[in-house]
Amino acid sequence: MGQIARRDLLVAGVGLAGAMAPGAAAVAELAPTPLNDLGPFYKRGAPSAAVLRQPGDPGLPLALGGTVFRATGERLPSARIELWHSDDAGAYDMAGVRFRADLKADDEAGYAVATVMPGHYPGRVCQHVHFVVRADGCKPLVTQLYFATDPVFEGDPDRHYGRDPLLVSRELIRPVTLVAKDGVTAAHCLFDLVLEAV
Amino acid sequence: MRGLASLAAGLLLASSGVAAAQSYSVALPCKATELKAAAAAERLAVTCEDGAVQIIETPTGRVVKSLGKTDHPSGAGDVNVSALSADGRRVALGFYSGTFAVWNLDDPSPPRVTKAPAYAFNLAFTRDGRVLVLGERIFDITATPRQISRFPTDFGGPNEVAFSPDGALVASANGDTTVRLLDGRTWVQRAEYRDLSVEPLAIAFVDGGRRLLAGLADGRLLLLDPRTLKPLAEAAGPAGTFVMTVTPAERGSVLVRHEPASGVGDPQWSLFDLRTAKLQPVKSGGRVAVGAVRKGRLWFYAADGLTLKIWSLAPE
Repeated sequence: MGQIARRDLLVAGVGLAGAMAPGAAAVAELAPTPLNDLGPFYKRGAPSAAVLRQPGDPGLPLALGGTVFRATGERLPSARIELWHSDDAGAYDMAGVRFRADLKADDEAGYAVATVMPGHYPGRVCQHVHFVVRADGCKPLVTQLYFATDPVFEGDPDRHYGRDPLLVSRELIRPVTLVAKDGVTAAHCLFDLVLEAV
Repeated sequence: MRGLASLAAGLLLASSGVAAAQSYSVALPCKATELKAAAAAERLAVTCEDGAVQIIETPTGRVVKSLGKTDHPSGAGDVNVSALSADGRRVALGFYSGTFAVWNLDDPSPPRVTKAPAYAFNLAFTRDGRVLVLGERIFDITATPRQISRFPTDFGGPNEVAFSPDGALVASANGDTTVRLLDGRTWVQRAEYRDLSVEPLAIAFVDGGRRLLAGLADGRLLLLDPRTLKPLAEAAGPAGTFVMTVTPAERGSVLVRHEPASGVGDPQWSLFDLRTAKLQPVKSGGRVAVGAVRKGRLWFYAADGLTLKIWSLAPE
């Protein structure tokens, strides 16, 4: 997983993985992650590198990751996670592959990227990260992650998530923790992904 | 008023290399955010700022049907997509709740309402009006709507679908970056094109159904054989744009709408020449606009406040 340690993401919350240790005898059923729109800026051929942020990139550094599960509770170490988002200014790279990643989950079904918080742009109300997640024996998951710190929510996502007509489920909004380390402040966000079995 | 409108439209288009052959204006029933044209009838679906959808006749502007929020199915939420049948006699509205409703404009009866699992931005009638496509789901709407098939997809579903003039073929431009060809009667996939790295967002059978044109998320246009999906030609679009719509026009051309990928600025309209694979810019006169061929001629409809400006384009 490159230079991101998943343990660093634990400061953002325990998530589903904390309650379901690898190799646990009993697994609980999980609610599938809600679906959300795919495009229009999905692009094939994203690199497999987990470090998307380059020195000098504007924007708040973001450490994003989680664990991939089947809705029946099992971890999915074979999962493929494609994610992409706009840059700090709200622009998608359609000529190249900036802020795009095509990752394979690790042995514990985890994934993590070091990137920047996506910016706002006309046509969409909220900051978001797109995901396409696939695993054997599961339906593909197309979804988006939204951030509880988005100014659009005015500090109350429960009340204001309806401001974005495409944000149909409160479950897609995740808390953000600011972490200061080595003089750098970064946002940490945990986004576990739960896929429906076929 | 008509004379002044014609003169203004002529001056507006003078620098674009095409001459306005005929133009006029009519009053709109509301301030429009979107216009959709029936493929074979003089009707437009006007989506209003307040969420209502009004069906009007052109060129008179007469309101055929008004669908305000109180006419929408209870609990359906806001409208996210609309479609007019080719003959202009039916209108379908899709809602963010996943509900869709179909009105027969010749019949005062309530609409047929169906709940789908999720909303979609792709909504289209087949040419005969007997089937409605919402996202990847295909519904027979001749009686109570029932799902009869689904578009094949790796993920994401169709961005747009198109029907060949004879109804024998259906093409889908898909979020998984494929273009697929289906049998128009059995809905079984016949071919697929997988060599794109970006999403095809728009698609149409052009040149009388002899070719298929796909508009891509990076602004390019791709011409394909409609039987095999073999690529025939490609053209780049304006930098920093994506293709929003492709509409068959006359004289071997296609009306293309490019939108700025940044979301800032007006759309750029062009006529794409199928012989040369070149784009010729055309001025549309506004952000809320649509083109349609009427009696063999390409017409432009552009909303300007509460006025609908209508003009035809005749290449020099």
